[in-house]
Amino acid sequence: MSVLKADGLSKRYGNFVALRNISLRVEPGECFGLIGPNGAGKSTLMRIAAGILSRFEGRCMLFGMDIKTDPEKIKKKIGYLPEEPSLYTRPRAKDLLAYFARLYGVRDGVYPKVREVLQLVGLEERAEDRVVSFSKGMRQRLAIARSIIHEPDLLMLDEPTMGLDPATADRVRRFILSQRKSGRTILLCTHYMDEAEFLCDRIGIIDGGSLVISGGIEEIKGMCGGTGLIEVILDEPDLDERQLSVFDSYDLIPGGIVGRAQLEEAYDVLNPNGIISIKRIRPDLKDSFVMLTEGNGDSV
Amino acid sequence: MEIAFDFGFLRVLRFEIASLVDDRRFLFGLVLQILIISLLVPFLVNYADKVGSGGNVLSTRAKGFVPVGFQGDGHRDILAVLGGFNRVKVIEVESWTEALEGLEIGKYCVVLGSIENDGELNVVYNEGDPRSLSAMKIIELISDSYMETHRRNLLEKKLTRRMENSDIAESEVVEEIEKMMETCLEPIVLSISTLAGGEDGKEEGLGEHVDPSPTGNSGDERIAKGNFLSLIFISLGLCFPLLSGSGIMIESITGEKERRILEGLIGSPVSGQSILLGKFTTAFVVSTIQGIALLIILGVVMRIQNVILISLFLMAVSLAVISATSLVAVISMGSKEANLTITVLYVMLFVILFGPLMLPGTVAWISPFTPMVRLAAGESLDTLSAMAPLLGCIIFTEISLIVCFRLFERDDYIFGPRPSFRELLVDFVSPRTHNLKNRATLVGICAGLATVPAIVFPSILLFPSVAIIGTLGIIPGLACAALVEEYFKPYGIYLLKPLPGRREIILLGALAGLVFSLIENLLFTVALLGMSTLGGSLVYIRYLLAPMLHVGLSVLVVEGFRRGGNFRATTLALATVLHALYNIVGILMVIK
Repeated sequence: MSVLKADGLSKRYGNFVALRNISLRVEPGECFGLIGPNGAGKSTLMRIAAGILSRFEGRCMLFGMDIKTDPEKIKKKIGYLPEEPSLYTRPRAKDLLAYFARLYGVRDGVYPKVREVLQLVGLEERAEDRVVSFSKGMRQRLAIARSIIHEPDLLMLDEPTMGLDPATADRVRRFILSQRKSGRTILLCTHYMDEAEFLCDRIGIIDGGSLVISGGIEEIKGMCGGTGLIEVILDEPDLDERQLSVFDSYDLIPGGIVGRAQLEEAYDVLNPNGIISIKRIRPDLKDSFVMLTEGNGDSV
Repeated sequence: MEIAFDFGFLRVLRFEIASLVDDRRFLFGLVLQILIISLLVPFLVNYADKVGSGGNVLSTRAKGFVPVGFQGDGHRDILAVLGGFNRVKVIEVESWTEALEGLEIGKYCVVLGSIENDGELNVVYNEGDPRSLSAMKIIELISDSYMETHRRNLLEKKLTRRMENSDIAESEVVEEIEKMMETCLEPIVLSISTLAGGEDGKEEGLGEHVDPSPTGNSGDERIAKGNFLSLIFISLGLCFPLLSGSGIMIESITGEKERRILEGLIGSPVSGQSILLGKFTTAFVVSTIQGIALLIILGVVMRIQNVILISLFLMAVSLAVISATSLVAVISMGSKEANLTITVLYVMLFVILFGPLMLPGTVAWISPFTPMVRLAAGESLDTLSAMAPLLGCIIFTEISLIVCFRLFERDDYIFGPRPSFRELLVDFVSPRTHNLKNRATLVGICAGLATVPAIVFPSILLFPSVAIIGTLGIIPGLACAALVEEYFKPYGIYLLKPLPGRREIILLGALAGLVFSLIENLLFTVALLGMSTLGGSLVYIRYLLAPMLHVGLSVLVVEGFRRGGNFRATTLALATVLHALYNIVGILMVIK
């Protein structure tokens, strides 16, 4: 049984269509990445799956239950980290976590559990401090601790490393990896391609509210890259209008051109500019993403 | 509606209360508020008492105050009359200096006595506001009497001079003068009595004041039980804890919505209703504790009676106010908007709470503060009178909370964009309009409600006081009425989702037009009943042409609505123009 099974999900905000007929599956124990440009609909999809948005079309089943009919039961099995994990700032870290532990139905040993998760995210030293004194990275880790306080079966993380410094982001990634290794199902929403490639088993690329593609990372890279990409480095990289027009009929992506015939023609056109090097390169997820989303957004 | 509470609201309540208790600045603010009000209310009450006891402190110097000195022995008769009024006080003063100083500062209205003689010197003042109408009347009357006496003195002197030059005996002259003086004084005494309202109503004239009591207790009883103005100030002081509750509600719903804190809370397995109820209960608990603390302090300081019963009413008011605030908090998308709305709400609230207090009879009982004021004054309440405002508060709270729960379930009220009123209506009627019968009923009801402008319009023609407005704006009025009617007639069809097929829409449009014209004609018949001059052409226009026109134009509008895009505006504009032309022709025919 799939942990998450979405069928024909659509969501509108007024006249704006945020999601169009999206269907996907997340299997137990896997880390599924939702990637796409800003405003593609990733967070909306995650909010629907987390039971936060209740007004949508289609069907969303989690653990075999419908999120519309059994939201409370499903939410107990979900740990959700919102895109902006705004927290109450007055309470102490431990009290905030204890509150959410109780909300999620943890009855016995609340504070030992709080200490355990704070240790897990490296905040055990700050348990007594008020949240207001925490840095952004610490708040993010505290929010992650909040999402795992009740030991959920499915962890939904919406942009967990956004806006963090490299060291903290790396720490968060290692934490997610540890969760994945422990067998927890993870739905990760990100627009960092390297992060998705590093953490996810499968990904789904969303653009303009539609699911463009979903599958294993290698599978998607293969589909987008074909036999690979050719990288051409020119002595004089500024091409004039005539030289650029040669690419009009080709499947051009920034940084590369595809296919042998294209290479030969390009060679003839580009030769006067002085070719420094020409080599076949292996496409990464970023290339696939840019190709599939036609360069929309500002993902890296 | 289905209300699915779980005990999660207790967890929310516990956390919210703990957070507030943990917030020292908030606690300090609450205590400070109680202290300030505890000090301010007695001060204001003292002010009210001063005003009520004749303005010993206040200098009135109000425009129209004419310090009047009264000389002569005749003032004793005036004093005898004035002594009969409970609000008019006459006291003896020792010197003219003191009396004149009192006049100068507006403390006294009139000095009665003689400068020349060392005899009794009296000052008159009016208890209550020295600027009151009754005080003015006293001054007027005594001024008149003074002028009259002065005139008599002159007359007396003239007569004496004549007597000196005549053969008439002195005793006869004196008798004649005294008779004349009595005759002169009589109208003044009578005039004062008239002002007092005769023998039985003496205290109503010069001793009157506002009586909120529907049972009609006399003024004396009220004065004995406490100053009304003082009770108003106490009630006003008790309103402040309600503002604390409202503030908590705005912060914990709109504030958290704005700062995205609410998202994490909604993601938890506690239902939205429980979250809302937990926050509502927090605000209620805080405002109740603060209110009761304040009431106890004021009760001790001001010797207010029935504190426990007043607390009960205060809690009922608190429930109603916080539930209204909850509604504002749920609907508002930002704190700025919520605070602005809540300010308007407060104004309305104060009008509802304090306005009826000034009104006599049963109207006063609209306000839950009426029983509170009565209880504070030590009066007893009959159960029925007490239950009315109490039940009003509870019913209002329940309705507000149900609407709140409904709206809080909608994610568009949390994450936006906020739905329009029509969208809310669409969502409300959609599940109930699955069959044609229900759809037709909805369209019929909406068409019926659209006749409201048809009620307003004839009133312009019928009431002379507004006829001038109707005449000035008759052409724009006719056009506006046409637009309003054409837009609202088929409103039920706009609410249908999904939109039915073309044939059904046309049928429903025709139904809307028909229902509208039938009800409109009925209203016209009632409104114009008895106006014999409006026959013939009007009957033809109203009862024959109107139904056909309304059906045709409604079908035109709904067809445009079905097609969408520019058709909607075009068909509505066309229908409005045709309708306005029909209105103008109709009016011209009637005038002719």
